[in-house]
Amino acid sequence: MVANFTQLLAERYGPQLDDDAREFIAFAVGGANRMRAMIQDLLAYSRVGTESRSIEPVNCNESLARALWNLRVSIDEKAAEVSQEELPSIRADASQLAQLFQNLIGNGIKFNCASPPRVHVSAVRNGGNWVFSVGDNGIGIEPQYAERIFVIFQRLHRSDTYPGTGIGLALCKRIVERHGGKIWLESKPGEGSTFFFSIPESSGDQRDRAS
Amino acid sequence: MSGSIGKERLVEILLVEDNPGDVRLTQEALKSDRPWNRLSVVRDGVEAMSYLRRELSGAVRPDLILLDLNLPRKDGREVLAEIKTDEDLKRIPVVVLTTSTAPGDVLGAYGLHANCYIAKPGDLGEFMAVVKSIENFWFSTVRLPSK
Repeated sequence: MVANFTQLLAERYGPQLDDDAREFIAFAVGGANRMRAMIQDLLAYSRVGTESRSIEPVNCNESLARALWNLRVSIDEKAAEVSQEELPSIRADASQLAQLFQNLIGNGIKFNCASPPRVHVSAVRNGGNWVFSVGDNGIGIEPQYAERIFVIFQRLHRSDTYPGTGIGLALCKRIVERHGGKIWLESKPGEGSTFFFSIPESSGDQRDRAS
Repeated sequence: MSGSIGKERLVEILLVEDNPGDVRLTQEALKSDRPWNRLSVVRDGVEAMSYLRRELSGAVRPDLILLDLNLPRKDGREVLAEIKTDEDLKRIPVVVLTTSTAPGDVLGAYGLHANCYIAKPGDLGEFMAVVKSIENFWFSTVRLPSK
């Protein structure tokens, strides 16, 4: 609402406005958009804590597909290439898993200057867990920031270089931990990052790879 | 306007603030008919420390630092701690100017020896009034150490 009418103001009266006025409008629109993103992300974060999980067998390939559909605009804009290996079916909350993939893959595309940006998703079984990895050829993260980035609102970049609310990775960590897993990363600044997360295989269920 | 600062030179203010809108608002609030201050801006905690250590070209020792707490890369709390434990920098008054009203943040900032803590008002008129009161207090009422 705020952003829309401010934009209308700019479009209709733009030529009559001076440089300061146009700059003030840009700040207003930018601020309104950031606020909207912040509210959405905070709601998503809060829901992981308050909504009861609906744990069921989830085909991770489908979760990934859902995430990629949600990311289609930025995949298109940046001509990104997202590849995957066959992913298992696990017991999880389907929408949270899709959100998790969406945030990690979205970051792999966003914090990326390569041409084209590439993200690869895979999973291996390891000691009672499925360990998923989301690897990119992006800008990478310096080791001293490796833990800080999972803290809510902590950002490494200025809002005008790489936009973001500082909630995405905190949300990923919350989702993973509520599933009983861990999240971590390996990275080479300038070359790329791989985010890993583990989800325990529940005992007693069939652990077939999706057919 | 100038209490302890001589009329011969501009007052140097360093603003440590990531949000470009807040930077612009502060610039607007500090504008005046007779230029009496020079506002330098750094956009994150790492840049702030480089500026204060004179590693950036054009860096001057500020008379006052306005410090936001939530900054990318190195946040304002770390910057505050580094300034107030540095033999050379600790004498520079630091006004924490932030959106947070959390009691933990207020307590933490004073614990790290912030000179004062101001929660940025959302209302434009109130914000302008706050910046004016910072000017009046720190540059008219208060005596600042000579450089």
